Amino acid sequence: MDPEAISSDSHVAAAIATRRRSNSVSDDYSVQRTNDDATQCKYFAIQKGYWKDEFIGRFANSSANVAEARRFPEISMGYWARTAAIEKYVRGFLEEFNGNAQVVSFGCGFDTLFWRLVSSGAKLAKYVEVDFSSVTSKKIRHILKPGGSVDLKKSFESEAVVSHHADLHAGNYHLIGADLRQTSELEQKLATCQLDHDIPTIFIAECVLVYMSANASSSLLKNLVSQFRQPAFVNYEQFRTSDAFTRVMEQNLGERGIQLHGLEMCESAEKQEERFRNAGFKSVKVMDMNQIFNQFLDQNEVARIRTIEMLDEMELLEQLLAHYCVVFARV
Amino acid sequence: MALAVADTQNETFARSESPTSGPSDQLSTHDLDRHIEKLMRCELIAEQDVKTLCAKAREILAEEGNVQVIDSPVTICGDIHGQFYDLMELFRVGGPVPNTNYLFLGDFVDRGFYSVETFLLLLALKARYPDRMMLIRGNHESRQITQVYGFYDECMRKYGNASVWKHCTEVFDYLALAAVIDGKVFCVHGGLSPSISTMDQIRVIDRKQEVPHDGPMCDLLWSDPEEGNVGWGLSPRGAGYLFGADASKTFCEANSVDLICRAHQLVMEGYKWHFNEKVLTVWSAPNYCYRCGNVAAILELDENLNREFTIFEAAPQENRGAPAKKPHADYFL
Repeated sequence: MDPEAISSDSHVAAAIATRRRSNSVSDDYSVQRTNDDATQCKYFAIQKGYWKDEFIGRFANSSANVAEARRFPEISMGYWARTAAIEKYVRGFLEEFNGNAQVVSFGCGFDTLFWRLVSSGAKLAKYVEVDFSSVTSKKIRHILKPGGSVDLKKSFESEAVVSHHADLHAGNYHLIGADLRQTSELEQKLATCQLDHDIPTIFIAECVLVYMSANASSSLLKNLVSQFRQPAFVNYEQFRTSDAFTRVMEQNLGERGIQLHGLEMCESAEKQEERFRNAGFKSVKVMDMNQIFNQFLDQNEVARIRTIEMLDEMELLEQLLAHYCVVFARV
Repeated sequence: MALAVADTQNETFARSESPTSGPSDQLSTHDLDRHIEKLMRCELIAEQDVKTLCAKAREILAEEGNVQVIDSPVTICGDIHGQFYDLMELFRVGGPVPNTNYLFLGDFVDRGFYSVETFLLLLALKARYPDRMMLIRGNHESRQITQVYGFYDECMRKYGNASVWKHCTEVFDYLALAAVIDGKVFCVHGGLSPSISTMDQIRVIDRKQEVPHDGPMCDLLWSDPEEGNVGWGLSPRGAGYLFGADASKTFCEANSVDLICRAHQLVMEGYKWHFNEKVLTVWSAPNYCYRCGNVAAILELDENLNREFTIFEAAPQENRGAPAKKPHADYFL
């Protein structure tokens, strides 16, 4: 049984009660499970050599058998492109301000970017991760569990302090459980991380805003611009959503209980620009993942990953990449 | 009545694996009909039956030339990729076997959820109606490729060991590499090869082997037509070539054929003409990978080689049998 379920902690109990009252509990649960899927996809791609990540093994289910774990090459290639693109934006941002900048990752799941940055010597002022408390509590368990060849705690500046089972604070690293749609809850939780609102801060959202209604994501973005003096936002999600591919995706994900409430914002570059500009961002750049793959990313790396597995059908990769994009917005 | 007789035969067979009699002696028409009936319901047949069926299929295929000579009328089908219920849809719109003659251009397995049932059904139909079911080899009919794209894993999952996969891959080696209809329509899975200018050059290939990484046999199964391409270009797939209008025209003239018909590439509309109707792509896996949103097509050639395309969509959900615990299409989540 999940320890969270038998928790006597009143704070968690209250939070669970609140969510149980909402009619979207099963929907939220399905969204939370998307993290497991993404983690296993990344884990498989990393084992295949698409990129290096010595930390993901702490979070992935390594006991899954090969047949269950296997993913098609275009999926591994797409996850590589996404991971590499986000990392490139974040590293570029941190370097631009000589490390005197903060990173806030929304819907972080079991992402390992913090550990990859720190282990490579990247400098940063603060790294905050936010997700549903059901996800952060699991992430905390994985971070703190003994054993394994990699100690995630080594990357922390100071001893990890856990509160409410779902929050972890360790020096400049913070992991907090919050629902991005609950504005006041999110603000309270972010306040516990003592972010500096005056220094440059880059926010990350990978397949996160698309699960929120357009209103909810817009107010989230507006709040960031009003509260932070120099925010930047890197957003990865669906794109070109008015065709047959997207209709099939909605149906397939719907069967898994996943509703894409914010899909209307993903329709085009114009829609994304409009949303970010309306929130107060001045510069908005949208690239689909084909552009990211064929132009933005290191082409030597692209050539390398193309040779890892023989991709039987280029169209499958191109079609997938055409339906995801990266938005980079700054004030 | 007939059923009882055949069942007895089958029991006899099940008990004996006599080394003196070949598989064709052991596999009766009734056995085949029984397998077909079962496979048509998307049910697996016993491992021992797979072994016998594969042996029988090898025996039939071994007699076929590298370039199968086919008479019209015939209905040409492209990639299927284990999408069993969509294959049922294909037979629904194209007509049942043996009423309709079929030529399948390879890629029966991989990516879909039912490669085992799909391939074994096509094989059983081939064994039952050898002159009405033509199967040629696609690039996925390969030991190496099926270990990446799902057929191997599926065999392991459904039979608990690799023997069914082994039997099937042995059949792969016997599949013809190409076909020619009435001497006028050249059919192949992928396309042309810079090492091949005449069909006779295909006829002398030693095809009974795993698909090589390069060379003429590989090219036939891997190449793609490319608009605006002159001569032979490197394929982004890492095998085969990109060929243009010039190479297609040269091949057609040298072999007195009017049309090169191939599959191999997903086309959203089900079929696609290239090079002023010299080359045609036919794609028969609707909503490929349960994700792409494409329609599928088959091409019917009548006895005068008149062409008629039939477009079809993925089988409706209610025709897909019990919603068993099925793997899902992959996205970035």
